[in-house]
Amino acid sequence: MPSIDQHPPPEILVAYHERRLSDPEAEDVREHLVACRDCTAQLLGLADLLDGDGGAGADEISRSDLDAAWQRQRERLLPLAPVVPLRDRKPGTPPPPRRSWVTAASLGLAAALALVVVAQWRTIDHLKQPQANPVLVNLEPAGSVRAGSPAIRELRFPAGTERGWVILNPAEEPGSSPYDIEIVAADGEVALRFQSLQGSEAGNFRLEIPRAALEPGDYTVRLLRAAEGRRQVEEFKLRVTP
Amino acid sequence: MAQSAEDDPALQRAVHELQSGVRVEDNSRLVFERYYPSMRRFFGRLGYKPQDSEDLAQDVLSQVFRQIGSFRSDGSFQSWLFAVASNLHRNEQRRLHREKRSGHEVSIDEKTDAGLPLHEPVAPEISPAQEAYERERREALERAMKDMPPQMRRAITLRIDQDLKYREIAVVLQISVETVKAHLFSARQRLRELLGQDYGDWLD
Repeated sequence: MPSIDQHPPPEILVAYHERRLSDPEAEDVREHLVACRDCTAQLLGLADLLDGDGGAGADEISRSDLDAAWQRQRERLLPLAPVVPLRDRKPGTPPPPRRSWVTAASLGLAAALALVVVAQWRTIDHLKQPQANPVLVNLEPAGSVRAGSPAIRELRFPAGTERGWVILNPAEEPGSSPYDIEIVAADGEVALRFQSLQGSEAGNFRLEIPRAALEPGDYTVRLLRAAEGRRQVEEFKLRVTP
Repeated sequence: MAQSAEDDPALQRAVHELQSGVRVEDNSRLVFERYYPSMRRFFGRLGYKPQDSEDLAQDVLSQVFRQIGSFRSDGSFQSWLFAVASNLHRNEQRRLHREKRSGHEVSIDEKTDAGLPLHEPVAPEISPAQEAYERERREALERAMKDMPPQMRRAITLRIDQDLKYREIAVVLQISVETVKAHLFSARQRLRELLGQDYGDWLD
């Protein structure tokens, strides 16, 4: 048990709040709290978290602020997948900007950092068993598939992988307003839904697909404009194979 | 009162599915929306600026999502979240302390290129006379508090030194709000009797 001069570790503060300490231990913590503003603030934060009442004078966060915060979090969590730009965009679409070697080097560094993040993300629950590389599938809009490309792209999860990546490459550059994406099974049921997405700098959308979320079968991937009453912009075909 | 993860089946399922890598985006969002506001408040309480509180709240949740596999499902998710946040706060304090110690020190006599003093002298917030008066008041208060029961003494200290509300004092001391009010009412009476009217007002 720490003395009054030492900050109690988080698990002791949790045990104190949950009244799991013996009386003398609780007295030590109480005496410390009275003298330590920092630990008191932590305990009150813990009470807020555990009891969920927001505390006195809790600040309310607006829906739009929460959405914006989630978008920032999402960008930190979801790694950058390799970018495969379309060669034949529709006429009128501006060409991708030229990048100097400095930009290329920066992108390389960003990709390397992204790989580190991916590695951290996967390390804990994947180290226990051997893992294959996650599958990555590039989709082009139905009806505008390049010559030589299959009409339906296959998503096949290699043994030992729990998720794969699907990159949607819309024919037109995505606008700045958010998009929704639905992956719809052949029977019309929505199997997966992604909300409030922004197109990447390369003009595509990257979706992380958990293996367990899609049964083998044919799917339609619908790109919808969230701000326009979920108007369908484009659709893509995807086949999940066992 | 909002439900805790233990009482909220949807949240419990989201954490479980995240551990299995299922519906990662939807489940991460559910967990994020449930805990981001509390995390932001947590760091706000600890004295961080709003922008820093937001960044730290995001750091906590990033770490939680990355390490979700190490969370033992028989434990409390919120307690784990709190432990991550608390450790992040301690690390941040250490970092700030190191930065402060290794910071560039500038002489108060140093001048800008234009010959103006680089630092404006800062007027002391409290005059020496006022400081002496406050010290005297404090000593008198501590003498008066010596004879009070420990719980009452702690309630007074939390009220005066940490500026806590009744409800917060109740959480810290694990007593009811009514007991806090009763302690502070009695303390106010005693201080007025022993030291005069304005000492009692200290607790208002």
